[in-house]
Amino acid sequence: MAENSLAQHYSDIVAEITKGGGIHIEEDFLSPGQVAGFVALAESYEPDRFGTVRGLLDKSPLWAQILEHPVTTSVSSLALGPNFQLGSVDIKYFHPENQVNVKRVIPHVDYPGSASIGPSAGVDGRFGEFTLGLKFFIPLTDLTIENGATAYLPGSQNLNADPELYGRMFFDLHAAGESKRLIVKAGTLAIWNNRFWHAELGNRSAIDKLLMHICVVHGNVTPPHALDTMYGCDRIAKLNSRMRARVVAS
Amino acid sequence: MTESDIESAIAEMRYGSGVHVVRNVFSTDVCLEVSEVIQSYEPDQYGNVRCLLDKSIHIESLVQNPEIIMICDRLFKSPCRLSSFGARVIDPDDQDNKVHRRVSGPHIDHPYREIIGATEGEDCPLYDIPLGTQVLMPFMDLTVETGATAYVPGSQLWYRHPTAEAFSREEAAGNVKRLELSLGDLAMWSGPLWHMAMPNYTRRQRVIMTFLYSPKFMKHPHLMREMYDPEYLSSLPEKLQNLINLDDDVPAIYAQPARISHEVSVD
Repeated sequence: MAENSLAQHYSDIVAEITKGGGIHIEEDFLSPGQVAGFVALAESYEPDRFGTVRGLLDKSPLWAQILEHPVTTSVSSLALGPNFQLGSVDIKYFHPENQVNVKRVIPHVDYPGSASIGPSAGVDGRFGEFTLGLKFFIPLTDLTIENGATAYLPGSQNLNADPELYGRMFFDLHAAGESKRLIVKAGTLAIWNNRFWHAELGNRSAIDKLLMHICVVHGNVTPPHALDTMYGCDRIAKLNSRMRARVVAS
Repeated sequence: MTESDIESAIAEMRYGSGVHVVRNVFSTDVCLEVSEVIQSYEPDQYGNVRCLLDKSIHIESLVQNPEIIMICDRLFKSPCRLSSFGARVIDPDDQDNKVHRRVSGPHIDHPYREIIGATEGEDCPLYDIPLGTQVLMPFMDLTVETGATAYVPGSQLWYRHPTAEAFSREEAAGNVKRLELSLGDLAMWSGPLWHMAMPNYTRRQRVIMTFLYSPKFMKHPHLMREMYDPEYLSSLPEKLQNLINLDDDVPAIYAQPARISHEVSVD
């Protein structure tokens, strides 16, 4: 794609996640080999009691292929400004019908939306169309209805509201057919706005569902994880200079 | 302070001169006591004295001033946090006083100076969204002679960085005012107000304190939990602990994951 067309493409993605449906989907973002590499990486470390594996950033060169990809860097820079920071990185297991993960079934918005909407919710909310954070979401397992493909409400970022404060509204809209499901292959990249209503549904299949979450935030927002402290100087020194800059900025 | 007073203060800070003044916050005696505390510590090379919260009950009380907190909470539409604070001690101006010269250029405050980048004015995506409030309190009368801060009323609406030339042009046009305050008063502003510290022409040190309040999710320049003794921090009332971010759940720190040793079967 020519440079101008690419720039337009990235602008269109940002428009889609801010003013449009709130989500952009890139199929085949990771190759099957890359997906297998991330699965092997996750399986090499002990998850916490909620099924989340963190602290993986320095444990595989594969991360650079996502975090330095033109789509993730250009969209982050356009949406959040050039000083955007890497806020958190994790891979999460959803075991078959895992009750431990039941909290995640609750429809929610992501940080910093969850911290910044507050009482100024609604169309007059402080940040209008401006976004303070993005989620890069990559399933490492094919997502199906059976394994609880992510449910989301298109355009919900414009509500500028936290679904946790609206009781059953998300489920009512879901039942009324207003929501969608992210039925995609492993390795697909979904990018959404931090105020986007979504819920991970229960896994009724026989095998684990593995999901990768990457959060990037505006340069003046407190990142969700203190990555520089979590990894320490020695581990951060192993990252290449561009990734190091995004982590140390936090 | 009534609802109407809060709304008036906010309107003045956002759409008026940019500055709201609170009178008689401290008595003369308290000001002298706090000033003495500040001056009993060695300032850094820029004249800053920090980590003062545990040095005086009056400072603890000042950062929790109900009028400041009410205005900030309303401005940010969420509970505010004390993002940074410290005192600045400025020596009398003379030929050798290079310290003051280094700190006195026209500027706007954090976080606006980082937010306003390539896009300025109303095109800035975060235009007119309050994300920080600066509070200044002098511990002597702040006059032209002692170096009252120079500022351009209404400049918070421009959403631009000041250059020395632009500030001089405003001065030449008679648009620069001085923030003259009596001992015990404080001034607060929110937004990218153009201002600069001025030389102290008296023979005494000028002692002021400045505070920054921000919404909880903003990055706070000072990490209070690392700056004070844990025993002192745990002794503080809950409201003050919250105000200095001790209850914040971000940024979270997680331990490195344990490696799983997969058994390899050898036939």
